Amino acid sequence: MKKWRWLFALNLFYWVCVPVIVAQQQPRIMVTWDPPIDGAMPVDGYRVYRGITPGNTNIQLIGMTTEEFIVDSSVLPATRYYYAISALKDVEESAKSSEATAMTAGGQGCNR
Amino acid sequence: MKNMKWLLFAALLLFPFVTSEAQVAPQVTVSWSGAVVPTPSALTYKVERAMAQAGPFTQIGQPAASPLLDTNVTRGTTYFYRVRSSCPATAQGCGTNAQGQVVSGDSAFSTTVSATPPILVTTPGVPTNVQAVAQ
Repeated sequence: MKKWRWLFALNLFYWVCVPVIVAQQQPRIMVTWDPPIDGAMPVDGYRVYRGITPGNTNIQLIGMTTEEFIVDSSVLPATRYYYAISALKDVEESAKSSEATAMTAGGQGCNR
Repeated sequence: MKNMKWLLFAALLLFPFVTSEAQVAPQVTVSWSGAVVPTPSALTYKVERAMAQAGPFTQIGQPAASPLLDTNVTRGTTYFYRVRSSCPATAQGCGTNAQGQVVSGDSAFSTTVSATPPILVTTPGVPTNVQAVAQ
C-alpha cells in the first residue's frame, strides 16, 4: 500500500508540475511597433532598449533589428520589463519611443 | 587602348557617386531673361546678394549670361538676389542704338528675389505604437 502511495505522488508530480515547469522554463516577451510617421524615410533599422524600472534613463540597448518586432527570450520569470525603440537612418538615431511594458509569468505553483 | 577601356569603366563606376554628392551640396540658381543691346557680346550681368530684403547687397558675380550658380550658401538660410545688366563705360559700350546713342553703363536693378536652400531631414522619426506582450 505504501508502494502505491509513492507511485501516486510521482504520477501527480508528472501530470501537474512538469507541464508548469516546462511552460515556465522559457519566458518570452514579444515587442512590436510601427514605423515612424515622419523624419527621414525609409529607416535602416531599429534599436531595442530594455529596462526593469520605468523611465528612459534606466534602459539599456539589447539589440538591433530591421524588422518591426522582436521576441526577447533573455528574460526572467515573474519580472516586469520596460521596452523603448529608436529608429536608425544612416548614422542618425531618433529619440526613443514611449515605453511599453510586460511582465513574464512564473514564480508560482510547482516552480516556487 | 586597353587602358582607355579601364578608364571608361572606372568613370562609369564613379559617375553615380559624383552625381549624388552634387545633389547634397546646397546651391541657389539665379536666372534671368537677357537684356537686348546692339552688341550682346559686350554685355555682362552684375548679380548681387544680401541676407535681408533691404540689403546691404554685395556683388557675387558678373557672368556674361544667365544663370549664376551660388554654391556659397547654407541650408535653411534665406538669401536675396538682384541683377542688373552692365555695358562697358567706354565709347563703344554695348554698341549704338537706333537713335544713334551709345549704350553704356549699368541698368537699374531687377526686382529682388529670394531663395532658401532646404534643410535636409536626416534624423528618422520615432517609432510609434510600441507594445510588449509576455508569452
